Amino acid sequence: MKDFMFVFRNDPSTLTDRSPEEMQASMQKWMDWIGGIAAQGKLIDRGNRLNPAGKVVKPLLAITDGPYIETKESVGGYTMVRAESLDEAAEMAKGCPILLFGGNVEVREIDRM
Amino acid sequence: MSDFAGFMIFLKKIKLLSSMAPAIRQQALKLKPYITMKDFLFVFRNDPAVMAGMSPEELQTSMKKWMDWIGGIAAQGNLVDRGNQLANEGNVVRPAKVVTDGPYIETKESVGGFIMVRAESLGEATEMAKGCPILSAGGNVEVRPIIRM
Repeated sequence: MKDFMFVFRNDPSTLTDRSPEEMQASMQKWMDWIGGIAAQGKLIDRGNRLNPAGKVVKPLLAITDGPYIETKESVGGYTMVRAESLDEAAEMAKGCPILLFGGNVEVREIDRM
Repeated sequence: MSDFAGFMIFLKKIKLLSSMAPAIRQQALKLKPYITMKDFLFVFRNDPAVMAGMSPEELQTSMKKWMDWIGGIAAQGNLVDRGNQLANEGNVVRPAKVVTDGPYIETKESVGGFIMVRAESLGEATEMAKGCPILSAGGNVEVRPIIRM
């Protein structure tokens, strides 16, 4: 088996105008999805969410405010899973609720040292 | 020339990891308590092509710089997780379950790896990121506060 990182990208503004009921429904979908991966013994690290605030440090120590590049595709969090192949990991990612809200999931293999 | 990927590849080549990892782990035991501090993710972005032309000497120089930088963070008790390098290949799963090959967006700014650090504030974490060797190879570091759930 190999380890993979799921990088979640979305538009943070889509999260702000949700009702408590919508947020609860969304959280339930995330729990169901991640719980399903964990139930198969394939969840390595449930990861973290990232605060929308942030800085980018660039060459010559230039610092820009805010998260990286397009705010519409800001990195919102990550999870680490185990799969036989990149294809199997991508199949797992297809269940991610972020896809229902215009976000996407980058699937990258971890290079263990 | 130095970058994160070059650093990792060099480690594999000369198998220095066995001597380096325990040192960092040992220092990580001094991790400051999570009380008034916050945790931050450093996301490293660079052009994977940069490392392709590195000589063994350049890789060694790069490795030394990364060890000094990460070791310095660990020595201050601020290294939460030394993170991982990401392989260059990858997929992106988009709405309607469309899967595209390759890592995200511009390969020149591909996510190459990450570490997690502890700091008083976003400003302090950003200061720590200024020492990252990736900056001297055209790469950059995104600094993001972790939301603990």
